[in-house]
Amino acid sequence: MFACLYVPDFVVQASLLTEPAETRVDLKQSPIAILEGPASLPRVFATNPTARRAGIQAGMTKLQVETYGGVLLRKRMVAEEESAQAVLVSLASSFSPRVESTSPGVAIIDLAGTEKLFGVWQSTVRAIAAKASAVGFDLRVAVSSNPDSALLAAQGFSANTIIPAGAEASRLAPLPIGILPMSSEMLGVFDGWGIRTFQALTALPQVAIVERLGQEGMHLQKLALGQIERPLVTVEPNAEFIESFEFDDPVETLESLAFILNRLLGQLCSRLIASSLAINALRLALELEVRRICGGNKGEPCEHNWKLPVPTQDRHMLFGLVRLYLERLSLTAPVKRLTVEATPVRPRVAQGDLFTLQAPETEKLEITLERIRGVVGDSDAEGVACVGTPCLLDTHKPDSFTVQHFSSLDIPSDSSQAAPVSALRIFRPAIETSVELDGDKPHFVRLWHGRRYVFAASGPWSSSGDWWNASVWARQEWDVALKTPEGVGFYRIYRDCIRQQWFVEGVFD
Amino acid sequence: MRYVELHARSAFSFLEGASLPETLAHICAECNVSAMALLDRHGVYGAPHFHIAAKQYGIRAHIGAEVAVAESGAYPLLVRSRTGYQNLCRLITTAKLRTQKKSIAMVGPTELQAYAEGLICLTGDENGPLASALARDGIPGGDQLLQQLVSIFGHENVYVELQRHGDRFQESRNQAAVGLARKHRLALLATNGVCYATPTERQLADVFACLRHKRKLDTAGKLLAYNSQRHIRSGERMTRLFADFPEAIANTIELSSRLEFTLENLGYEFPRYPVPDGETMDSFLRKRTWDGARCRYRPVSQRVRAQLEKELALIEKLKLAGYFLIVWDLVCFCERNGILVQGRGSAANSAVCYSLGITAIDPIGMDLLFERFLSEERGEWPDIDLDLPSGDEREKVIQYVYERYGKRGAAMTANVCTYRGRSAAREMGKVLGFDEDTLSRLSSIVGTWEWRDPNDTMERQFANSGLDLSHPQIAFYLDLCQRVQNLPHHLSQHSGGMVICQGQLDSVVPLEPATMPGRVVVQWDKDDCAALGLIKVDLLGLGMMAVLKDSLGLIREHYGEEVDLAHLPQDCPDVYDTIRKADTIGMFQIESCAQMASLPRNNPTRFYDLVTQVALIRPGPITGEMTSPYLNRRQGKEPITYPHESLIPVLKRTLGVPLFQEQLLKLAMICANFSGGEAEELRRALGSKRSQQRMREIEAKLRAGMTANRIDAKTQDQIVRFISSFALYGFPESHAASFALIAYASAFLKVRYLAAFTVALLNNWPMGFYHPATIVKDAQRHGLRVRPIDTMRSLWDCSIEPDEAGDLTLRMGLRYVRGLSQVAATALVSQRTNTPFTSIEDLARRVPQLNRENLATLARIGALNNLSTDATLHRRDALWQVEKAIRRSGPLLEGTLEVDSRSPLRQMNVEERLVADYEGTGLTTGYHPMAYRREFLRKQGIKSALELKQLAHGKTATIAGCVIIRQRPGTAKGIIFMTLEDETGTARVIISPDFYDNNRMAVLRDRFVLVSGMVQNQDGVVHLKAQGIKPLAISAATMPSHDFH
Repeated sequence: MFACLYVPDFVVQASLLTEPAETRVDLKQSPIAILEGPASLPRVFATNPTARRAGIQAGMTKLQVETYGGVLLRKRMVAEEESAQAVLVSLASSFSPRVESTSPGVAIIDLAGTEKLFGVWQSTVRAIAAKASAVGFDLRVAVSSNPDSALLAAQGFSANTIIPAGAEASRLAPLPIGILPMSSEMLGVFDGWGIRTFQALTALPQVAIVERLGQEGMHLQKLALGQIERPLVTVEPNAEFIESFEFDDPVETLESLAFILNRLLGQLCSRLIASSLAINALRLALELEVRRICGGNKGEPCEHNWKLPVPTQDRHMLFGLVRLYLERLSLTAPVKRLTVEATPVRPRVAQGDLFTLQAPETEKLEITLERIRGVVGDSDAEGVACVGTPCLLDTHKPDSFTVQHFSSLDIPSDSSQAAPVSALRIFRPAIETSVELDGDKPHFVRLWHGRRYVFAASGPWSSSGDWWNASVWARQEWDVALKTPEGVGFYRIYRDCIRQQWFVEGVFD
Repeated sequence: MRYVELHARSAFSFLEGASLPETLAHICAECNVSAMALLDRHGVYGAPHFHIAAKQYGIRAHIGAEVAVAESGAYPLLVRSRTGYQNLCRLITTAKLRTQKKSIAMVGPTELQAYAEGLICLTGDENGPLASALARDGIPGGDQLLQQLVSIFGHENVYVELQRHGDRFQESRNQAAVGLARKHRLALLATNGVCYATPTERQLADVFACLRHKRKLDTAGKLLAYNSQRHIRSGERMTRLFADFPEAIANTIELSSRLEFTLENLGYEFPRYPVPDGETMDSFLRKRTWDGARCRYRPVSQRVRAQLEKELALIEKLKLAGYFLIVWDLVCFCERNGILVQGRGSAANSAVCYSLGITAIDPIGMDLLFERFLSEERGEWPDIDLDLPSGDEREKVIQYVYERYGKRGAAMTANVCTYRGRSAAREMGKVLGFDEDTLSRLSSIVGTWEWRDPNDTMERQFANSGLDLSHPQIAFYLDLCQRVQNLPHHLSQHSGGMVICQGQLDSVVPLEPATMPGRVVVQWDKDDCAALGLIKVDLLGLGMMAVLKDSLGLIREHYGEEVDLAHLPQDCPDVYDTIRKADTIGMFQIESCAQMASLPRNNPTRFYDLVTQVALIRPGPITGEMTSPYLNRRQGKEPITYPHESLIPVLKRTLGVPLFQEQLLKLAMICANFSGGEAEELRRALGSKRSQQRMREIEAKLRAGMTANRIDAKTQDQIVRFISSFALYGFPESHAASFALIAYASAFLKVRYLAAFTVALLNNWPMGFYHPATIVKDAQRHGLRVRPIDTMRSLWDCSIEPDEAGDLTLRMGLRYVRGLSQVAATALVSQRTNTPFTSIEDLARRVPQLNRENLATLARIGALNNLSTDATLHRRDALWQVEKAIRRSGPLLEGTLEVDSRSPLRQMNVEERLVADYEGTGLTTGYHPMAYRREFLRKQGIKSALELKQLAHGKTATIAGCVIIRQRPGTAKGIIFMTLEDETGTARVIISPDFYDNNRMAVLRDRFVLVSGMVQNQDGVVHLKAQGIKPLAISAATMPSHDFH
């Protein structure tokens, strides 16, 4: 026998699951609408029965719902639903080891052998309902001899149901056919025929059904008769790839840490290999011993994530990568617990191309890049990465670039066709300065602690952009020849027209 | 220092310019720039606007265009002489006519050579030929290009253009250009490559760049402008900027003085009509007119003779005989080909037009003002509009014009589509990166009702739809939406205006292909054409003309009678009885809710009453508060008074209330001593593009004239109010009379030949005010039996079938089967004609064009019920068979399986049949859904539409029905009119703005409603003023509602 745990209005219930029990009970009485869509124009995605009775329907805009008054509006959170589904599966798992996470809000369990633990089916159903209620779910349970009949009964009947073996067809007969899994086209055919219930569907001659609707029609009829047998697609136990180790005594040396790290990575890779999976991203978490020093706490947990260029199962490469990171890490307290978590994906199956340029192995390249990061750091003060390939941004704004992750596969082609121009060494950041004008033109520029005379100037060169957002910019550039103690210097200065401030941007060679 | 801007683009460059030509002219005047050349991309679209605005602001308007040359960039070409202008138009036309719409029209170098005379070529900006050549081949490339340009245009007609927008790359190009100019001894010319009038409009230019490249602002990068400097600059500013090249500034003045051409003299000439030897066009027209007059006026009275002589003399003087003959020729073509045609508009004021058969209204009999049509002082062409049956017949006439005057001798006028609420909301949202769902929602909330509340601004609409206006991005969005309003979006084809030219039209204005195959369109809209003196003939498609024509054919075939529309019995009491009762569904012009509400009060008993009726329900008379006084006077409820005794002859026919434009003109002529031409000028000034300044001037002139005639201040106020309020939206009397003729004809046919008229109406839908569901129910209430669609009998069109007793019935046509193509239906009819179908399987096999969905729909609506020898086959039996018939068993078992006519399915009940009928055809030929619930409703005390009409004023009542119309007219101060239909007829409900605000969802959403309120029964016009509304569960049928959004 199988039991189906069905949570009606799952999206609404999932959103209330985190509320305190008393609040949740109160909230369930009021109309609730879950909204989805852009912040500027959210729409109703799901409702509870109270809201539906009031006339609120999926697809309505927030404004339309607000005209009803007293409706509790919430934003849809997929994470909440995933978490609620996990709770549901966990709840189901406490009654049977064989659980299928069928769809959001639905879990089916194989009850074979559980009668000795929970007694007759009625007791099992009561126990499930009681436990679900304690967790915060308002669910319906149906027991039947096959998973699909249990599911249909749970969806179709408004109370808990137990269908004795052999009575599926008769018990399911009054259910509406709309709950059967079928395409809208098929539903349209049944609607045209005036077939509204399972009973009506099962009354149709089977051969005639096959002649008209093919195998799908017959399958639906068998579903309605409760005659479909199928195995459960059970939830994989412990599908998360996390390995963790807690030290008896917090460790302070890299060697001790590296030893355990190597072991954990080895275990992780073995599990992944056994599941024919590879690591796409890796998370390292270090829990530190909290020490109270001078009234402040030290030992904030430390975490780092790697997004790998290609999925890998190579523990040595991973170890090298993490070790390099640890080498440059300075911790404020000894490590109490070490956790590594892998994001699994299918391993890469690819063959090299004869005509592809020779390039370093991707995995080794990643180690090298990590080494460089160890020297220069991850990113600068403005959040631009320090290691990678510089790329010009598609904007008129001068000196706009980003640093992308380096990949040997996209080495830029020869760009030496550009006409030779004099090099401009850019000061980063630009040097704030003041300029005295003669009419429109710069006359004196303050630079290197002196007031420099401008004896030649070319400009103004104007540019502006991003007027539609907060990063609006506008500048007027001048290329100037300045008299300096060393002789003559050629500089580029500009006026930031938004901040009304002059800067020296760079010097020409 | 004097400077002229010789390179500017307007928003008529469609996404390559951001200001209207009028704005450019205005800013030019403000910056003391004495002239400007408008060089729009690939055309002279904005030239008329610019020409008119420049005249207004006192600057000179030079004309030109940027013409794309294959692989060489956009050539800025300035027009020097009329020859140059003609060459430019032909050059653009040549390129456009061979190019697909939406592709860039490219000119070939040889064509440039052929049409170079009279043109001056600039070397252009970063998209110009010199920049392209320098980028491609460096200095040698530039050198070669200049040699080429000199050889094409001549040394003195090539100018090396310099622009300075604060861009280093541009300056390096300038240096190269100066070097090349010196080498070839070519003149330098400073321009600013203007794309917008002021720096702030650069934002719109950026937005347009995004739309052009289908990008968002965030991702457009370098496709956006480098800075904001392509605006109009003053001479001083340009002089400072080009201090190192003073000759480049001086040359702008010199070149401007060489550009002698303006749009003032286009060289347009209307085609000459070929006349027999020994005749002139005048003499030929005279003969044709008198021939016609002898038929029309029996006898030709002295008054008629005098009027015709007067008109003919003026036509001769203005050299317009050719125009009248050409229109007469079109009318003759229609007569030869059996195409109904009727002139409308001001042409009906002319006795010559009436004699020539162009119009059907006798202007002398109706005392219509000829000056409204033609006057010597006005100096513009008359306007003749011809109404033709919409569809193929109108197309035949259009193609006849092309055939007769050549592809380049005639073209449709354009229609410039501008950014409006919805399009602006959508496009601006796209540029700012809103997702598709949000865009659809936004564009649907902008301006959903015709009525615009004074507070119903875009801000309010946005706020109502849940947008947070304090959010910077939303604020920007709103700002962009407002700024882009009224800028040109694209060019489309005007519905019927045709321009014809003696010689080649493509030398007057560039032509381009329209979206419809076989159509050519000019680059100007009808107002531009009129402003520049191009004469046009409007060939307008009128659905009702097609209905009339089809009706005549059906009457001939099924009633065995010949009806001549030109000689319909006049003033038939039964026809006027029907009209007076507002029983006018389907009748031309008098079927709307507002018309129905005024018909019993106007109480028409003769043709002229219909003329006033047609003109009465127009925004002009309504907003001018003339409708109610007129109706009150008709009913004797208020005395007939006149603003001034001198106006009695003018206003007598309309009981002292002006209803027609002609009266407005006469008012001005009598009270303020305006001449006929001046009065017409006044009407134009008050037209759709009225300006406050012009209004003030006219008012002053009117008042001065009235003061001179010793009219007191109070009367002056009244007359000014008359004139200013309705000049904009009033009908000319002649136009109203033309429409009234059609209205009477439609009423006559409906009353006397209901079957034929209803069939014709259904076959020409969409048209008119009502959905076919309502038309069918109305016909049934009038006693016509309407039979459902039947695959064994129905044709594509609805048709007339005699029943067993010989009475005529209407058979619904296959065109009303949702999703069924005409090809499939025609195949079905053709197969059936050869051999009738014996079963559904037979039908599915012999008409493979019918897909599963078609067959299922036919079965659902009962159209397959007669396709079996078993007389008791019902819709579900047919559906059961259809599912089997479409799953063919394959060749092995072909024909071996037994056809099971019976099914295990139960028959559809009434509700299911209703749902199937409305889903499958949009209507039902069975009982109205409300009829099934009448007993229940009666027990609840709920009145039917018929019963409501019998209730006294002030009573309270509750009615129920299906909502067939929701309307919020612009003139009704926010009131919504809702029409409910039940089996007894229709009932009108008034919904006040406050009531609407509190019951929005019920008013807008529900199909069946229960409305309670107070009865307003005045003069036989019954409304229910809503005080309560709630949804009613009658049927799940998807009954259509015509909501006027």
